[in-house]
Amino acid sequence: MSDAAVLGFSAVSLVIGARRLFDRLDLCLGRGERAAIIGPSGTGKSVIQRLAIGMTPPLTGSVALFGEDLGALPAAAQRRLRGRCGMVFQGGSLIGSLSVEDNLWLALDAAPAARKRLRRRIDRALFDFGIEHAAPIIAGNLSEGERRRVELARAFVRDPELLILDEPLVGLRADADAIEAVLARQIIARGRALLLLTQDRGLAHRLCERVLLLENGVLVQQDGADVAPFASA
Amino acid sequence: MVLTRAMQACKGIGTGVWLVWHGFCGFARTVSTRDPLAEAGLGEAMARFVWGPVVTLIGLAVLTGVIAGVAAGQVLQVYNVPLLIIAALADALMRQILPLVVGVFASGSVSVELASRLGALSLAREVDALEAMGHDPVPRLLGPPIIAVLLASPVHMLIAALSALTGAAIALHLGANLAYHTFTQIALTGQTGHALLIGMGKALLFATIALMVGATVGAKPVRAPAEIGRHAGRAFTTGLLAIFAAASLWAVLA
Repeated sequence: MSDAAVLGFSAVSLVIGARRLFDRLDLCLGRGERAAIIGPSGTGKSVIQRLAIGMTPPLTGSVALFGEDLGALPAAAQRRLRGRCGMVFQGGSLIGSLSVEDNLWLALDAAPAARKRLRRRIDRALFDFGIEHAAPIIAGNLSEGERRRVELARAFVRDPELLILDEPLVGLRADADAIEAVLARQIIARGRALLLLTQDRGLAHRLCERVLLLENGVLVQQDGADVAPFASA
Repeated sequence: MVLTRAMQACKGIGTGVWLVWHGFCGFARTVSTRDPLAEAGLGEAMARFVWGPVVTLIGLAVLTGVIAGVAAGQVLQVYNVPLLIIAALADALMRQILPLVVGVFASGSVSVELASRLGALSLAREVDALEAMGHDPVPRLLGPPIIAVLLASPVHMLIAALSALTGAAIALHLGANLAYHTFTQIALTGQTGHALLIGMGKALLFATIALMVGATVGAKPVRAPAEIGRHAGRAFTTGLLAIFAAASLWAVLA
């Protein structure tokens, strides 16, 4: 595993229930590198996201985030590393009882003295994803598409070094192209590392340099020609 | 089987103690950074756990006082020793009965509410979201209810004591023709005050037990909405059992 790797899976195996989800899975993502993991539903893409940030420990093997083995770190140190990542979960994970703006402040975890300085960053994130009108609205009252935009804004507001996005455009429908353009601007132009987990081969090939197919618990490198959707997608 | 159950109980107690302690200690830091979740949670928890239950608690306590007053009135008609009977009534209410009423109330509200809320947050992935952002979810989610419940329990005990004594005085006046001023002269003494302080201590302990049970049951993973109801039911019965066990232990050791 390279020293410059922001995320590394080394011979990771995981069994959930009676099913072997991953079999000696290896993955290395360098700084500024963009990789996508594609595969039909139920193959364990979302579990990779949890493994990557130490929220699910592997059965065997190890996961390193920013060069540090998550299995060897205490919970507080793991949280510090997670703080350098931007995450979007499939199905959403906003705090439904807080306003959109408070959801973003929560992500920043800023001391009161720093709030004035960070105010612009919040406004910028809301503007980039076209949700500035929704700032005072309680997140639980938003539409599915708006929630998705807020979740993306929350992932970027922290200026993350690594983004792990699980089906980021699901639920956006008509706005998907515009949001994809924002993602490309925020990720490619700024040299951020990306691990994209999706069923959308087209999106994977457009946003990422490497596309890997998750099949039978192992990752298989894909070429750019095949962009047909999965049968189950 | 018995050994397994005992080990599970010990593990549950350990988890509960850790969650409540960690939530209590970590809460100060989250408030100092003006964490929006902790700030909103504290306001909501104060309304829900401190002021929300007051009306119901007053009703429960008055009825408890009436029941005790009716029984005391019947004894008073047979033995006619008001000094002894009223003093015993006030002492039993403050020291034994009302802390249990407040404790049962805490088990029915705090532990059930906490278990359901944590289950719902887990199901909505809000706990995962906090973890993914690098935040410790325990102080943010448990801190506000812990502070609110610890503040509420002595206040609730005081309100329950005044309400129960009022109920008992009315019952004794109507049932045994005991004058209100005679009742207050006998019931409101330094000894009753001492019993009330002990009752407040017990109520605080029972509220902490309710918190521990609610937090422990609520921290279990939830995979389907139906499990939230199951968790709430388990929190109530476990809380009740734990509170009565603690009350028995206190009575034996006192």
